[in-house]
Amino acid sequence: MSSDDDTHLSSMTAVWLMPVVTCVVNSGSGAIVANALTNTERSFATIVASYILWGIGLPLSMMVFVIYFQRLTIHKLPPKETIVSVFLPMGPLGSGAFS
Amino acid sequence: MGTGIVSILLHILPYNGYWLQWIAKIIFAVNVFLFVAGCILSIIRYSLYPHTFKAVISHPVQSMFLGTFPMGLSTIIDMICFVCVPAWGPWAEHLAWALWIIDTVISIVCALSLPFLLYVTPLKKYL
Repeated sequence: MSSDDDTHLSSMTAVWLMPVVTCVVNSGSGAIVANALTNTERSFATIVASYILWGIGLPLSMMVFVIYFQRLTIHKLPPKETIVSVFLPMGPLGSGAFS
Repeated sequence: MGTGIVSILLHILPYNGYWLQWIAKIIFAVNVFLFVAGCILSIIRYSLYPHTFKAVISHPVQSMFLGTFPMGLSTIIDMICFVCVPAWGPWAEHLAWALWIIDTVISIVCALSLPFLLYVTPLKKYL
């Protein structure tokens, strides 16, 4: 691997969060589904699975936050085309709180 | 996704009028329509031009947007639980549960595999 192949930290945007947030959002949805189910065993299984999903999603998103924070401090704000992505960190925090 | 959240919020607003519930249901229908349209378009695109799927997965930013599919499906599942289960009966809850399981599997696969693809794909491929 030569040095011109290296990925630079400045190329990182908050969109890296997006695949991880899907788990957290799904766990919140699982709570609502468990509420609507009449079979209590299925509800219980759904709630346990929601906890597991929350456990997968939130720690991974915390790790991505750390990298994003480092990118912001070293390379300042992202370029104008991707500036909307700065709102993405709200996703896992809000959904995680809801879950 | 945005229409999904709007419909959920309108449904569960505390000081609700009956007319607000109808707006929530209309926006829910729009959300389902948009989601199904997006799905059909994506399936057609990837079956007619299979090389675009590889191109999307290899690209560092575009592949991340594949994660929005389970999130949109999640808002639809929420509204099914709020609206369809009281109105249409027990088969709607089986539908919601089945959709939620499918959504869970897709989101776990996304969350674990997309960052991995980010590590593995060499830079030269998408320059």
